[in-house]
Amino acid sequence: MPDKVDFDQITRKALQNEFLQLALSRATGTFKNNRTRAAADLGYFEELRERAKEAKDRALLNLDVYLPRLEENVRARGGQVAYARDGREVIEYILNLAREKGLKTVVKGKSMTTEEIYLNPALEAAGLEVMETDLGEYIIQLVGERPSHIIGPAIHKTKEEIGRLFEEKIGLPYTDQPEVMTQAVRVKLRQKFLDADLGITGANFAVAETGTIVLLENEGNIRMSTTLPKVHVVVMGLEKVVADMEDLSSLLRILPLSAVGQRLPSYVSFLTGPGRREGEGPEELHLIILDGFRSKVLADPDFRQILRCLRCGACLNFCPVYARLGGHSYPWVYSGPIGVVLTGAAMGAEAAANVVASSTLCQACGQVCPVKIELPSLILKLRQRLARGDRKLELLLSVAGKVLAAPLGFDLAGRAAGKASRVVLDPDGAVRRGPEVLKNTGQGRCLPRLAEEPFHRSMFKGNEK
Amino acid sequence: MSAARDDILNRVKKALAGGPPPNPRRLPPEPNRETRSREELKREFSERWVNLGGRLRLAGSPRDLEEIIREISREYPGPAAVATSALDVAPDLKGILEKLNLEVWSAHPDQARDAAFGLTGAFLAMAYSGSLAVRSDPPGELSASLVPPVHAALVPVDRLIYGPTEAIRRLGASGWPRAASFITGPSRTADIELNLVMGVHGPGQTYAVLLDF
Repeated sequence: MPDKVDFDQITRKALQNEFLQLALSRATGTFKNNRTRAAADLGYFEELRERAKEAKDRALLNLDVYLPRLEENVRARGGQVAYARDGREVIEYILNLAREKGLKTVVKGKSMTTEEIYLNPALEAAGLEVMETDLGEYIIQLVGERPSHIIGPAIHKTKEEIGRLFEEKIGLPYTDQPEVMTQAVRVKLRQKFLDADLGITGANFAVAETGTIVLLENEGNIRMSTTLPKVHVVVMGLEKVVADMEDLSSLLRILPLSAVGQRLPSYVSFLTGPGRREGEGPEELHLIILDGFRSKVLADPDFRQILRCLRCGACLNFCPVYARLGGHSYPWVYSGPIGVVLTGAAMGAEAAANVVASSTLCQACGQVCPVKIELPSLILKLRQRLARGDRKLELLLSVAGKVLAAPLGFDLAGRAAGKASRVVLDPDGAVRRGPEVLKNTGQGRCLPRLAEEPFHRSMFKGNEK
Repeated sequence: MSAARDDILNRVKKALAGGPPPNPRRLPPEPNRETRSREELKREFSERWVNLGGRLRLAGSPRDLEEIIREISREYPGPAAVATSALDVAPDLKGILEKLNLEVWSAHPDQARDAAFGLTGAFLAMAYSGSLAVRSDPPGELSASLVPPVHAALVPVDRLIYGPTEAIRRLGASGWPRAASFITGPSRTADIELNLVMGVHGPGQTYAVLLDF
């Protein structure tokens, strides 16, 4: 379900929030520059994109082969595998497991998939203690918000806000020093890692050939969550499977380059089955493969390609709309261009209508996507789907099409538009009068006045002279 | 849950039926970009490791290694959590630790958490990204490289390779270990207003000690 947001109100607030505007432009600017520099430095980035795209397509178009293969190989190494049709089944599985084994405390690695199914509130409601352990996720868990960026969940928070939050919630004397705050969280979470019964993470990739779960991170919290607790649960969307290690190599290189311009992040973990020795490693590994909206999108030939998404955040960083609105203006946990398209494909175009309309179609997202998802044309497709449902607009466009196709109609319409723009537009270009449909689309926009005489007329006049 | 499995796999099959041919054209295999001389590997690895905030030390003899361990233990005084792989790659280490009178702890997380630094070997090191690889099969390598505030890895120079493709091939060559990690510099975050802070949950300082003797 999309979150209920009053789009006009929330975007107006976002645009007027000076800190947010600064934070967004700094964060997206830094990520963009680093990504651009690192891609150029690599020397074969475009070739790598092609390989990454092919690797994802190979897995997606053969999911019926690779999912069972992954399952078989995880089992062969002693892991357990479950499928979940929706978030509810994921939650049920984890709660059953917790009841059966007496698991009470949970440490979590950052995972968009668990955000998508609102896992934390459900586990907490059932009496489990759930700690997000990525610093950014920890911060937004304390305030009860959702991540505003895939890679930087708390980029919308000032260090002063975080300082006050830590003072109130974890008793750290007020400071605005990121080093001090980070150290305090290290100390606090260290004990949690050592005591936790259960580690829950997502997966960046799952390799069918070997049954290996691959996770990328910079902080070390995912290594902690997968090394110390006795049980590890992986929640992954079914599109995370890749065929083999050769395909993984391309994807492993392009993901951190696209996300933040790193060749590799601080830690990449390859986890193949459970096994505990001298306090290291889980006794049990459970892989939960989630469908949710995914098989539905797979069946949609236009939108199937969005299942290639690696959740790198590059399309957010390069999007001029995201850079002004921030992640919380979008209707679901996924924001930016990929969020628009995921929401539209998963829940119907109507659910994404506001953010679909806000797109500038500048094409930047399509140019940077590491797996070549055609984001701009998919946003256009959503616009078409929205328009298709609108009877009045359909009628208007079909009449307009017929009128404009005839030379006389074209001439008359051009002259009428020139006159009308003088009536409808205020001197500042704002649309304040005229029919409802114009006022609605023109709200908040300034339009130039049209020439009184259409171009095709003045052009011929010029020739006659 | 097996009902869910059948349901999902059926939906997937149905979604794919009548779609494009199942095997997209395979690109020609990636050209080998990973050939480098020993000297190039050393130079590229060192450059990247240091750029990311790691410290690099070169040991050309057991004496050098002794000096390096002395330096680390002076800056970070206290017990060392030692993984067996450190002793495997540098047989002189045992004598050095005794000579320096260092308290040697196991790498079990319950001990490693209070150690001043962790000492491990490394399965390999990668020049492409300035990374080390550690694995679960030498006991304690994962914890000693993760839990203490400082990690020092001893890396024989002949374990330097270029890139991830070769690293992945070697890691899986005789069956994948339960766990393996690439480590690239210290643990880091930029989650508070993009300020880079080292040592969030993993070590805030990392040493790569290249052994060339």
